[in-house]
Amino acid sequence: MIEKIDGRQFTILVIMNTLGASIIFIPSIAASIGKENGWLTVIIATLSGLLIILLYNAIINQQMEKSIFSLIEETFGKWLGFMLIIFFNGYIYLNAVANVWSIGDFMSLQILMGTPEEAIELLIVITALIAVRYGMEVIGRTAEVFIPFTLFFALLVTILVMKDANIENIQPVFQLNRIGTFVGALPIIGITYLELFILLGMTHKVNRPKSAKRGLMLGGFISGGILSIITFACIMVLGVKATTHYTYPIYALGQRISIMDFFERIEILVAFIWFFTIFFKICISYYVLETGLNHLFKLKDNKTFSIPLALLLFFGATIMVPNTFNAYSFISGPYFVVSFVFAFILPVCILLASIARKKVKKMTKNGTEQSKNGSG
Amino acid sequence: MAMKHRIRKKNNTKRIEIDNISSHFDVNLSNELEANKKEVFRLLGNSSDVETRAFQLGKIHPVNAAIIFLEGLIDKEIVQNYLLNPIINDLRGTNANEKIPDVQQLYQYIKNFNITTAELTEISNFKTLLQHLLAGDTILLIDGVNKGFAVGARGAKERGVEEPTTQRVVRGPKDAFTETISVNIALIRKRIKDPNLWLESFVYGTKTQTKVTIAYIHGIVNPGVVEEVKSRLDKMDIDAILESGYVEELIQDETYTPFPTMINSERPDAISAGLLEGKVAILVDGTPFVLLVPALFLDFFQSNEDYYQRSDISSLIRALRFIAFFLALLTPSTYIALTTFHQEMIPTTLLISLAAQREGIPFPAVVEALLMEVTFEILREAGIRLPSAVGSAISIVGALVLGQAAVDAGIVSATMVIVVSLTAISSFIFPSYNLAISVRMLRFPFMIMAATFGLFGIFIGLLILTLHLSSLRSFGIPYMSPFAPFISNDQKDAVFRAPRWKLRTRPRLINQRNTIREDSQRPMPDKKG
Repeated sequence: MIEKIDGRQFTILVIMNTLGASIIFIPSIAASIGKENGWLTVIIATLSGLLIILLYNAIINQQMEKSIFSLIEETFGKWLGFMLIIFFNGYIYLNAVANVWSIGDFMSLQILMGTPEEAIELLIVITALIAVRYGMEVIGRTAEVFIPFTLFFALLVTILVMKDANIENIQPVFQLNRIGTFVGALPIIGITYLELFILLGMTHKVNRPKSAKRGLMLGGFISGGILSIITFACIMVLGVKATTHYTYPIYALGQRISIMDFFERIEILVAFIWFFTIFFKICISYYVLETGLNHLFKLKDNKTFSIPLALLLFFGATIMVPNTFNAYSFISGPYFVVSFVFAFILPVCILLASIARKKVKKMTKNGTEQSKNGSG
Repeated sequence: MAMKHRIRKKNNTKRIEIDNISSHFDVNLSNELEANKKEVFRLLGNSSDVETRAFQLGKIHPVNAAIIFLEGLIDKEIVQNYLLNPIINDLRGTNANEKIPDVQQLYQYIKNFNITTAELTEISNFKTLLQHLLAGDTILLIDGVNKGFAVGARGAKERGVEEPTTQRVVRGPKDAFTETISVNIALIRKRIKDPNLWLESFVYGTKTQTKVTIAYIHGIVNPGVVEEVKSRLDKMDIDAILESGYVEELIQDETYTPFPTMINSERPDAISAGLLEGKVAILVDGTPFVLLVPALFLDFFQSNEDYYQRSDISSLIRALRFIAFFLALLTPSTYIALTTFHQEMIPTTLLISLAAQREGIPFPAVVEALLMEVTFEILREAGIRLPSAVGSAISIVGALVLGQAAVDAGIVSATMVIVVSLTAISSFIFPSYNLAISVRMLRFPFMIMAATFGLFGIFIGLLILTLHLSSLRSFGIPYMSPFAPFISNDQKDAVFRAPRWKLRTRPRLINQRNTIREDSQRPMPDKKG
């Protein structure tokens, strides 16, 4: 049976993929570069992110219901295509490993203090393995079940902390640090919208290319809105200094929740918003990685690589990141370059090459027809 | 060799058919009455419940005849009044041979003018003879004819239609299915007087010859599902079907899942409602529990009473069931996770009192919880099997000895008793017993996850559970619909039940053709009057 997901499920996966990981880092990054205009930074990032989505949509047009891997291979030929697919897969692998590591790190630092990081990472990788073996259809449906809770908790947290909001924290609005406001958008785009490129590896699973394009746009817009609201709440409540200071500002936001002095310290809800989103992000990366490898090795069975990949993800997560500080300096700086190369320059190349190839094909076709006519 | 071997491909087991039946299965009846009777007795091993009554037709040149029946399976009144009485009386005064010179004509005469029962089958070989005899028919054999009659005068002792013992309701019909399939079919027919209610019957079980009937409403049902049900039923190869559970296990989509993928109910109104939604009912002779497919996860949260009460009450109760589902599943594991890993989430005053209670308890929370949950499961299981006379003893033992005394003795904390009781009560709220069983089973893995990874473990567990639920299908329909895939049109009857005039369409995935159910308008009485 061919598995297909519908437009709604794809939209939800786009939201999950954009919010995953980023929801917990973005307020901090935005505030550290954009200062009190951090929330504007996120809005700018969202707007430019939508432009990037336009680029990806153009690639979906080129795909014509084929997978991105076939498109790369067709456009660049066998050998160059092979190399590019390996690079692309490498980027996805890096991404997936980083996400697995960040859950493990966060959980062992904030929630389960005594539990070794590796145990948490292993549990997540096993769960992702189960999900990937069930297939994209099941992942899509599961995301559909969890999205209302995720959005509800996100909204709840934002509303519940608003009693501590201080308007002075965001003043003066867009008067100082104007350059920083724009520059700050770059790393944010790097860990949100540029990572949507991975999703192009599964757009051929969406029942209609049109709904894939719509899903990408709508999902990008909604998640941008959520990120802006949360950053806004963080800066309003915590202030710029504290937001920058915390590694996980939204978690600190959750710690402030107190309902009737009874329900306190329910920041764990925040942790789970983030956990669910990042889990689906890992699943998508994992799935696309598997699809890519299957394409490279021309395998028919979709599940051959799932267990080896699970092990690779687990060991990658345990050895690739030396420590938390290292990871954050990587995310807020060099990572943008990596994303930019793989998720912007590469797609632009694919798009241009694909368009050019089609033009050439058309021209030669016309040419031969003309020559035929001429000779006839 | 009389033995007939059938080698099955899969496990290479041999099925041996028993000697006396197989060799005579397709043997035709002979002309001689005595030989036929002897053969029947021999085939049935001279069983003591096989009875026969010999008589003569006509007075002057009598023709011998006999009826054979199984004691207890026939209605003697019918046999006497509508079989024996007309035959014997009509021909008694006459010279049978003069009135009807040929035995063959006599046979036709009896068929056309004497026997007055509705069900009458001609039989010509021992195979059909035995089938009818064992089903409770009365066999009439006449000397000189190599054919006979099977007269349908069944009258085995049956339970009448009584109140359902499971799935009780406050408001709603109080009749339940019985063990007789014909009565059950009639109970559905009585409710749906539509010529499109179609039934198809099959016989399964090489030894039990159990009648299995599928019922559906033509024009509403998805024909693909009917075909699927039939093809799955056809693949069954089993010696006995004693309950619909046998059928369920052989045709369900997924065996290794804690969740039921078929509904069973002993309520005719519930089955009729399912048929009207476009589902297929599978009735099995010998059990009051009728199966209904395809089943969705949601169906196990719905009681038929939801549709008999007003929509606001039903919505509230249905929402309560969803809450109870999570309570029954997660209360013990959440307690373990909070007390072991996340003490900061418990308000200080509560934490102090919890800590004070747990002070003298020798076990960690997870051992305490497992201990109490297992004890409770034992108590519950014992409560079901106990003779009703000692039923009250179990509640004394359970409530007083194991609850109060265990707390006093300092083995478990009082909070733990509350947690276990809450879990137990919550798991009784589901209208369907099989969903309650799944929750009972799943509670334990969740407790272990909570003990190892705290709330994170519980969330991982929920994630895996949802993944599993989303992967299930029941006869091609995604189990989690209308939540995943989300169908906005079907939300009117999901977590909440909308007022009846809003329930315009049938569930979309189950029947894809005839979805419009009604077109009632919102009742708007003229207020001026």
